[in-house]
Amino acid sequence: MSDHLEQELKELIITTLDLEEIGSDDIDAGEPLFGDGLGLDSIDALELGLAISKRYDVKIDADDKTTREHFASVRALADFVRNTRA
Amino acid sequence: MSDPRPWFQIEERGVLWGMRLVLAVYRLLGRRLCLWLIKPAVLYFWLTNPGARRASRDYLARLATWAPHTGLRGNRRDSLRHFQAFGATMIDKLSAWRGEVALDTVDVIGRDTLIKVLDSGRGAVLMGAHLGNMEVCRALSQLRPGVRLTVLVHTHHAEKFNRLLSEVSGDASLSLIQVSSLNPATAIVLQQRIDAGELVAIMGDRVPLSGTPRTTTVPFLGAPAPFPQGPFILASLLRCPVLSLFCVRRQQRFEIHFARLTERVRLPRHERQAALARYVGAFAAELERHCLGAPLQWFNFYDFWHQHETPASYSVDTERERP
Repeated sequence: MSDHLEQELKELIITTLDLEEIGSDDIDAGEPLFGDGLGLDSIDALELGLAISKRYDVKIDADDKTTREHFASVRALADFVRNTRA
Repeated sequence: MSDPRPWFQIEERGVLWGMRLVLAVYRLLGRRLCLWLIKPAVLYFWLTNPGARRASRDYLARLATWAPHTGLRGNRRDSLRHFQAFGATMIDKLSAWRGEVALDTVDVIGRDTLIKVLDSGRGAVLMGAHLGNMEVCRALSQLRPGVRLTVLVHTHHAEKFNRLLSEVSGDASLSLIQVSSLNPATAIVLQQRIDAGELVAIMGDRVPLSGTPRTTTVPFLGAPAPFPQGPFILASLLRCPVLSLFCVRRQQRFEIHFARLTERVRLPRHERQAALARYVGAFAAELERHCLGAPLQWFNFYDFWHQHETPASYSVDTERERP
């Protein structure tokens, strides 16, 4: 399911993290964001967390074990934003 | 004092109790007498904390070798003077909290740099250190009414201190926030403050005890020492100017030093470690310069140079949580 929110998140990731060399089509919604996939690191995670909680007004608790899962991929992030906002 | 614990030992109840007592004495009798009254407590603390004593002598011995002009030898006498200077700082803290540090007893070096930031309407990160007494910055609200300062601390007692602080000072121009880990929630709160034109002070010379702290090792007083990366990572998230900030006492006056470290911390993905090393190195060099100018006022009473090699050797864990 490719949806509007996933597309929005991809663009947010690219602009927030200055990933100039890739376009939103290059990011697979199911691909891991950190480590092997897009190769983002923990500083990116902070940047992204900050951008997402500002944009969607969601609370991200760094100590919460599930946070890691929410940030696993674009799809996981989209689910997280949708569920938290609802 | 009937309580056997030194009042500045960071045990929560002890600290609040002790601070209130000293505050009462301070109100009644003034700074000079207060200084004499805490001398036995400082001596007791010095005698009963071999770890802190060792660390103090190690620091002073490094200074003695690295900067002989300071006249320090790193002996017991120097170390006790170091501790007494710390006691005196606690009293200055109280008077700063009470808003009694008048701007005309403060020399602000780099005033234009600060004014420029304040005029911009956007806040800044002030990268400070455990050198002297950061609370003296509160006097800056006399320079620019309404200027607000948030100090980030590792201590778990921030809330209690805040309460005491508002009891003492009755205004909200200074507040403490406890930060145990870097997370988006903290960053958001701080970003809001920066956007509102506030100043956020971070200590750039203390590595958090918990977790696996990220450090960058840079030269400091003649030997490599690990400095925390966290403050600069946080500054990069806040996307604002970073000034270094050091407040030291000079006899009867205070000096607050501001200098621009960078317009904005940038940590490009492909060279993060190198970029961090540049920022941390520049800060450590500034800190070193100011330590040489006020050698007895740097208060990190633990083995700063080897802090992560022998974690078990910290006899006084809480020592490192001193705000």
